[in-house]
Amino acid sequence: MKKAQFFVISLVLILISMVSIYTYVRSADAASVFSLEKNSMLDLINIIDAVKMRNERYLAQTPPWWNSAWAYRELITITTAVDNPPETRTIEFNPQVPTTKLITSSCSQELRLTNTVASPTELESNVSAAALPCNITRTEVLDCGAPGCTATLRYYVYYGNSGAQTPNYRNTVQGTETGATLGTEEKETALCDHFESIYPKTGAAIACDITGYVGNKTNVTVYYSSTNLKFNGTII
Amino acid sequence: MLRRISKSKRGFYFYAELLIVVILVTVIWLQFPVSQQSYVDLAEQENLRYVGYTGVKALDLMGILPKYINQTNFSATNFTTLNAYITNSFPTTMLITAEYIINATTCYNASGSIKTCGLNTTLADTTSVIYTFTNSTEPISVKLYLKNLFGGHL
Repeated sequence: MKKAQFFVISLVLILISMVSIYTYVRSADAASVFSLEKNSMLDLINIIDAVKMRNERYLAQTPPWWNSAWAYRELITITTAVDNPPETRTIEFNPQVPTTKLITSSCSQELRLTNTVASPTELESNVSAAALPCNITRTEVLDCGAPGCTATLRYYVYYGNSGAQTPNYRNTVQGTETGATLGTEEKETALCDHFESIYPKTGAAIACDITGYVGNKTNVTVYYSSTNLKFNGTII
Repeated sequence: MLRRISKSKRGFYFYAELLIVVILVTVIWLQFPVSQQSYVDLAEQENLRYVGYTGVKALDLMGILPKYINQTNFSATNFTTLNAYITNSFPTTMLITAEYIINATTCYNASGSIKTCGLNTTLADTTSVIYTFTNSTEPISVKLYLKNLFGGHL
């Protein structure tokens, strides 16, 4: 009985000693001790806040993505004088699409034009040449009021889709070249790409994807896993 | 006879157990302050991180980050003004170094110089927190390196 008791106590002592030594070593860096790792909650809050802020601040002001197969889009604003409205004109403008982001290198296949309303739809458009450098052309009825008025047209041009095919309506057409103001290039998955590039460096595993749109907000699903926190859900 | 056997057994195991108990008590007694101090340090660091995060978020909500961060041409960001806002948003007892993360390999320091990510020298007990600023185009994360000047033991 005494011998058994002795060994039990010895085993307990050895276990406690090991835990104590481990705790002491871990506490030497003053960053963590034993099971007390840096809390990951703020990292997750940051991800949620960023998605929500982006939805509230940015997407609330502009239409959602027209088609998730296209990776990039850019706002195009054209301002032109109209001598005798209404006037039908084939407008031609240079979208200045970066060569590296036109994946197919084909203007005919990959470029798309949409309107800028809350539920965007594709607008029929043509291209001045099948491949870069090319301009986009579209026929519009310009009716801005009195003779000599100024018409303002706003479109989104989408690009960055390796699987895009030439739409049935598309031809190679020349028009009246008009100066266009280009907006800032937007990438649909920019925020997810950002998270996936920075959080693995903190030791966390993360997967982020855009799953859909509700109104003018983007549904983002996030899987986040660190040593002391796991999250798998949708943020809107 | 019975008395002699009992005395012999008691002698060996009694002293062995006594030694074990003394060692056990000593180890636990010595360990308590270390664990307790580490716990306090960790709690202070978590507090620093929370203060840092809410501070930068407040700068974002007040329009400071959207005003001074140029997302389309980040090198044109007004780093001097931004750094002044960040530094003055926190108590003077906090040492704060900002870093701006563009992606996994590209970062800017508080002065706006492009550099590899991370600080070259990090003081002991320095913690960090990330706040992601997202406006219209490329998101930019502000990473604050935080240290309490007095180790939190005022």
